[in-house]
Order: sequence, then structure tokens, then C-alpha cells
Amino acid sequence: MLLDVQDLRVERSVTGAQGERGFEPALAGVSFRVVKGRILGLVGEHGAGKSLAASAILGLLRPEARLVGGRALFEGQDLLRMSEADLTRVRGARIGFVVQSGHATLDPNTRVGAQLVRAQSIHRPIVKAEAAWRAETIMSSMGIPEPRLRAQAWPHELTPGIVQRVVIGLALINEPQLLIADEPTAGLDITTQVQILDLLHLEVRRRRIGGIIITRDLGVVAQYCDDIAVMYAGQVVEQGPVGQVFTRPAHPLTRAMIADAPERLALAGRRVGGPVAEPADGCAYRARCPDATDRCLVAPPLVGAGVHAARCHFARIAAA
Amino acid sequence: MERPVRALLRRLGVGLFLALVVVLTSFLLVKLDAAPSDVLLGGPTPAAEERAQLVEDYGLDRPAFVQFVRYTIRVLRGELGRSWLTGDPVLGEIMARIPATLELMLYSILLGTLIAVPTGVAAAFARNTAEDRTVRGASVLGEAMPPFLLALLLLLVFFRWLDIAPAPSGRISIVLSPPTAVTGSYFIDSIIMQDSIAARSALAQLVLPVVTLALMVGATLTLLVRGAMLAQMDAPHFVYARAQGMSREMLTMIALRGALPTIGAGLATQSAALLGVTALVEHVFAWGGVGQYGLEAMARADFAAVQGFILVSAAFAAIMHLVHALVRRIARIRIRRA
Amino acid sequence: MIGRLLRMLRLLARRRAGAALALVVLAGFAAAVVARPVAWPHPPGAQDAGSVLAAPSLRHPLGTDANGRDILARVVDGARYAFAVPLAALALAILLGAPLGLAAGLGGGWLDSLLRRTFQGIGLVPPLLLAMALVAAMGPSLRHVVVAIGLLEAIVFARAMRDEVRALHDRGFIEAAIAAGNPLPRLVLVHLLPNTLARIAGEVPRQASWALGVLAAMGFVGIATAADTTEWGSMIREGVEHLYAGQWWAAIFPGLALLVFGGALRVLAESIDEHGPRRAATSPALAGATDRAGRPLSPRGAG
Repeated sequence: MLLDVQDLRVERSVTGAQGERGFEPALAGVSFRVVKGRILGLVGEHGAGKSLAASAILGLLRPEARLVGGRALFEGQDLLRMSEADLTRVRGARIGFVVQSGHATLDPNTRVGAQLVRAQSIHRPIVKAEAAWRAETIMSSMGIPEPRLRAQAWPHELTPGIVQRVVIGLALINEPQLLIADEPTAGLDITTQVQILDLLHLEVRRRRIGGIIITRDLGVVAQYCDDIAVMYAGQVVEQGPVGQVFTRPAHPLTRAMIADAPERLALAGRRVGGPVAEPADGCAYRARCPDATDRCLVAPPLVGAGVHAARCHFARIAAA
Repeated sequence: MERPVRALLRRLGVGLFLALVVVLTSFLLVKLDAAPSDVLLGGPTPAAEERAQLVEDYGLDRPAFVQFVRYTIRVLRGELGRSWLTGDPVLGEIMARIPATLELMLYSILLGTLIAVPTGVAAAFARNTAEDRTVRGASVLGEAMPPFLLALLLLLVFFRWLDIAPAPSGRISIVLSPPTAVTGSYFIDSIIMQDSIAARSALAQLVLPVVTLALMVGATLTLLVRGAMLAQMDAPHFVYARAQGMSREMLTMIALRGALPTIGAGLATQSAALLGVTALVEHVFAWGGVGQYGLEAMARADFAAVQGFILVSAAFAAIMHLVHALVRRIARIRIRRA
Repeated sequence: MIGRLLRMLRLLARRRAGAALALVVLAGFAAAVVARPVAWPHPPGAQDAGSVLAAPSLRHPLGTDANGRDILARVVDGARYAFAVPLAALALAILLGAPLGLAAGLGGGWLDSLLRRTFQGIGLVPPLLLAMALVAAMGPSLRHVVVAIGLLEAIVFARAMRDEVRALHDRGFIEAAIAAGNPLPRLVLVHLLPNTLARIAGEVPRQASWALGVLAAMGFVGIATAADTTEWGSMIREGVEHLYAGQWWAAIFPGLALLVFGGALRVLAESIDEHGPRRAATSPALAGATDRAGRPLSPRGAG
């Protein structure tokens, strides 16, 4: 077990109509696991809390959000209770992070090569020449042509695809044990998307590390992930191995998403249904669920055995 | 090739127009007075031939437009008229006082920046904590502080009560004579002349006025630095830098670098208008600089001097904006060339 | 309109303790001015030959000045100037500046450029110095102080108004109103003014604080008023020589009044910057978009 997130709870500050401040739950007890050598696909609609979960694990919550409870055991240590100094030693060194919107994620005032060198210097003393050589090596293994030339470039001079490869290189250069990719292909064209995902997949396999891919695209999960966790309104509503979940989806949301994306055609950003105000209690999905009954007024338990489970009163999960 | 030339001409045109507006403003100052001729004509009792000469020079018997044209020509020639208090040419009197003012401003801007940048950075990192609130409260109070009141408070404490600061009697102790002018800064000149007593006195005289001005500069600049840093810290690349596990120092450098253009622009704007605050501080400390000269000219309705002072203060602001534009351009070229 | 302003103020007070405190301070000054003639035994002009430059005591809590006059009474009396001069200057500035900015914003083109460049040229002279030079040119009187400050602040309001009108124009707001058949006066009165009011009002505390500072500076240098008054800057000037001799109260107490009054205005201005109507945004989609209480619909950076 590489990462074991248990009952992660986060609240977000809201300002009411009268100007009063309050908090509302944004993550209501999220649990998932990542095993070495496997990739977990964290999937859900916009605003389901996928990115928030990743930020919370890395201690990168924005000022308006606050951690309320839960555990995130990484190599046996709880990340949520670590001091900022200890967390700094984990970020970038043992957990690599690939963020969405590549172009804006690189420091605009530093050359690409220098950023790769700096990333190494964060976590250990380096010899400049060796670090520069390593930077070039990782650039070429990320499939960047002419790495020596590109190392001298400023981020704004590169194409989005190359930038995203650099970002992945930055995430991997300190040889982390876990790679978290938050919508790594948002805003890229389809061909580049495939290349980037192939690269991520390959690197996780080759290095035998754990991976999390956060996406809205079930096709991505089907193609590149081993496990899946479907999120809705700050909760994981279904999780399990990709094969089982896709062949026998137990939650109505999963079924709807699969129906909406029969092949790999679902484009990033496409929504299942419209935005609906979530009910205050009971099953969060019931307002949109075609199968909802009075039972759904009560919050559903996690139904299931072993690796495959769903948060629905009517879930029927066959033992694998 | 054609476009840069056109852009240059355009900029030149704008510059000329701005200069014209400034000269017109200065010209109108005198026209506001009920009896402008008396004001210009060297005080209440000028000699008859002197009067005739001035009427001729300024074209006072001609329409206002002609007067303005003549005034503009005189300004272009560097003829700012004579002060009726001293009878000396205004331009020379101002020039002689510029080093004193520049020295005060330079040290204050430096010290103010040295105070404001670390404070603003610390406040930004501590966003919305008690530390941040304290810094912001102090800065807002500093912005509301009349410069002369701050000067008086410092004098009361350090000169009158603690007796560790010298009296507000100018740039050097009244029992010493100023050093031979090389740079115009009494402190630096004393060092060049290897006169340690004069150097120590000049330095002691500098402390309170510089601290006063630096605190005034620092208050505004701190808020600016904090805001610029926060804007950088909200940017995705900063969040990503944190995700890479960067230390506080590295994060500071990244955000500060991104915030630099904003901070530079704010510093330029502030420096351009700093002569106003400086004048009040000079007035309290009897500093003998341009600002004090201008305020005294106003209090005594010495109009050629007031006009000259207004022109010089605008020229100073224009130079500050130009320097800023130049620095920005160089910085941008450096980035583009790479 | 007034109801809207009141609601804005109430909202500010609820969200920001600082703004509430600032309003209390200003109200306190106003109350003291009204109450002084009946509540305080020493009139500001009464000379007490028996106690010249007396240190603060029970009889004279802030001491007396070189003429034996009660400083507390004089400081309270001086608050009249702190209210009246900035308010009068603001009224003049808005009356002059808003129509000018409206014309520039609606007219656009050469008129807009001409005004912008003219303001830019005038802006090269540090405003504090130009205001003082104007008063020096017109002669020392409070009316001239108001005119000088009003003229310079008119530039600020003209710019604010122009930016707001341009922003509305860029959003297609004005075109839409014209297309709907609004004649020009109606366009201005019904559509433009209410939409720019928040911005203009938001500028008021900062400009009032600036005006107060300029007034005091003029008083301190001695170009605002000929005769001795209870204006705080003038009181400080008269107290300076005694400060060096150790009788600090004659200069410092009017100074502190100035600081507290100006500080209250500044805090108010900061609160508005943070929570009030946003300055004209660069993004036309967000420019001036405020809810009914005048708060921005788009969040500004927290903090």
C-alpha cells in the first residue's frame, strides 16, 4: 500500500447574502487507495472534489478551504498531520505532481532547463553540471526533441505539448514513489493528449511507482488506469478495479457516465446532465437519479465486498 | 522600419504636449493673481527702468496668448526669471539646492524599499493572520500620517527627550562649515575631504529626515509589495512551485521576481510625486533643499521662484517616469533576447 | 440612491470592524463639535493669562497654547475645518469632474485623448505642491484652499467617471440603451449615473483624506490662512517652536487629531477597496459588475 486516504474531510468558506461567513463541506469523507505499480483514475464531474482531494493530500489547500478530518497515509506516515517543513520534503521528492493548464504552471521568469536543475536542488545538494546533464536526460526521455536547445528556452516559447512534457519531467526528476496528475491533458489537442497519457502510463509502469490520474474522461480511465474511483459531490460513490466497474457498474452515476461515453469519445469537460443543487441530506445524487425512491432520503452506505464498492442502496455487487 | 519611426514620433509628440501642459500650468499660476504684473515685476517696488524692461520681456502689454508664447520661449532658454527676495536668477538658486534634495530622496527611497519589501513579503506569506493585519494597519496609519507630524514626533523623542539626535538645523552642524563641493552631498564630500568630524555631523543630520521620509515611502510601498506578492502567489505556477516542495526562500524569489514590474512601477510613481512630501520634511528640518525653497517662495508669494519650482518638480517627475520606462524596456529586451 | 449608500455602509460595518470603528471616530468628532459650546467651559478663543503653555491638567486636559487658550477646545473647534474643507472640495470636484469624465467617456476619440493627456501633464507636478502653488497664487483664504483642492480632485473624479463610462460602453451597455430608444439625457440620468455612482462614492473617503492632508500641510507651511485659526495644520505650526523647548502639547495634540481623523478616512477607503465597488476592470465582462449592494460579483483576490 503506497497511499491510503481515509475519510478525508474538507470544508470551504462561503459568504452568505448578508455578508456573514460560514463553512460548507466540500469533501465529505473521501477514501481511496493507491498501490505500487498501479494507476488509480479519480473521475467525476467538474466540482466533484477531485482536485481538492489532491490539494488536501499535498497540503496545498487554498486559503478559503480548511481541512476538517481524515487520514492520508503515505508510506505509513499521515500527510495530513505532518508539519509544513516535513511536507516540503515529501512534495516533489516522494510525490510528484503534474498540474492542469501546463503553460501557467512553469515559472515564467526562469528557463526550462534551469527549472529542471532547480527542482533537483530543492531536495538535495547538487553538482551543477551533473544536474544539467540529468535535466537534459530526462527531457529526452520525456520525448522532447533537441533537449539541449530546449533547455535554454523560456516557457512561453514552447508548445503546450512540450510544456506538459517538461512538467512531467519536473514531477519525475527526483524519482518519486507516487505521481499525481491533475487533468494532465486539459487544453491539449487530441493527438497530444494521447501522447502525454501514453508517456505518463509508460513512466509509472517502468518505474514501478503508484499513479493517480484525475480526469473527467471515463475513456482515459478505461485506457490507462487499473483502478477507478468515481466522485460525486465530495464523496466517492463507486470504486473498484477498472475491469469490474466498467463491466458491472453498480452506481447509477457510473452507469450514466458509461452510457454517455460508449467509446473513448467523451471529450474533457463534457458534463453528464446539468448542474443540480445537491440535496442537504440523504443520497447526494438522488435529485438526478432515475431510480431514486424514498429510501434515497437516507444517506446510503458503501455497499460491496472486497475491492469493488458503491455508495447506493440498490447496488448489487457480485463477488469477483 | 516605418512603424518604429512612427511610434517614436508619436511618443515625441505626446512628450511635447505634456511639456506644453506643464508650462501652461505654470504660466496660469501667475495669471490667477489679480495683479500679475506686480508679481512678476520684481516685488512691490521695482525701479522704473527695470519695470519697463520686464514689461518688454514678458510682453505684459500684449494679449495673454502672446505672453504665453514669450513665457514658453523664455522657459526653453532656461530663463526662469529672478526671485524678488534675493534678486538672483531662480534657475541658479534651484540648481544649487538640488543635491541636498536628491541626497535626501535617494537615501529615503533606498531605506524605504529596504523596509517595505521584507515587510510586504512577510505579510503576504502570513495572509490574513494577526501578523498580516498588524502590518496592514501600520501601513494604513503611515499613509494617513502627515509627514511633518511624523518629523515632529521623531524630533520630540530623539532630539528633545532622548537628546541623541541633532537639532533640525540643516545639513551639517551650524558650528561647522560645509565641505568643498564635489558631489554635492555633504556626507560624501566630507569623506572625500577626509574630514571625519564633518562627515559624522552630516550623517547625524541625515538620520531623522531620512527616517521620516523612508517611513512615508515604506508605508505605501509595503501595501503595494504585499498586493503584488499576493497576485503572484495566486498564480498557478506559484502553487506548482509549492507542489515541487520548494523552500520559503525559493518561493519568495519566484514570487518577488514576478512581482518586480508592479513594484517598480509603484516605486516610480511614488518617487515622481515624492518631492511634495520631501518639501514638507525639508521645511521641518530646515534642510535647505529645493522643496524648502519652493514652500518658502509660496509663503512669500515670490512668483518667479514658485513657477520655477513647479517646472522643476514636473521635470523631476518626468525624468522618474522616463527612467522607469527605460528600465522596463531593458528588462523586457533581456527576456526576449533569450 | 441614499438607501443604497446606507446599505453599502451598513454592509461595510458588518464585515469590517475597522470600517465600523472609523465611522464611530468620525461621528465622535462631529458630536464633539456640536456638543462643545454647551459641554465645555473654555471657548476656543478665550485667553487665560494665568496659564500660558500650561501642561495637560484636569482643568486643561490637553494643556494650553502660547496665548493661554485651551487646546482641547481648539482641537475640537478645528474639526469643523476637517469636515468642511474636504467636503466642499469634494462637492466642487465631483461637480466639475463627473461631467468632464462623462463627456470624455461618451465622446471618446480626440476629446478623450486630449483630456487624458492634459491630466497626465498636470499630473506630472506633485499634486500637493500644485495645490499649494495655486493657493499661493490666489492668495491665502479657505475659499481658495477649497478651490485648489477641488480642481485637482476633479481630475481624479473625471478619470474615474471616464473609466466607468468606457467600461459600460465596452460591454455594449450604452449601445443597447441607445438602441432601446433612450434619448441622451435619459441615458445619462437613468442608465449611466446609477451605474457609476458606486465608483464615485467609493473614491470619496480616499479623496477626503487627501484633502485633509493638503489643508493641514498648507496650514503648517502658513499659506492657507492669514489670521490664526483653529485649523489643525496652523495650530501645529504655532506649536512647533514650543515643541523644541519641551512644551510639546501645543503641536502634538492637533497633530494627533489630524492623524486619527485622517486615519479613519483611510481605513474607510481601504475597506471600500477591499469589499466595495471594484475599480474599472480590464476585463469588460467583469467591469463594474456589482450586485445590488454595490459589491463586486466577481471575487477580488482574498486578503
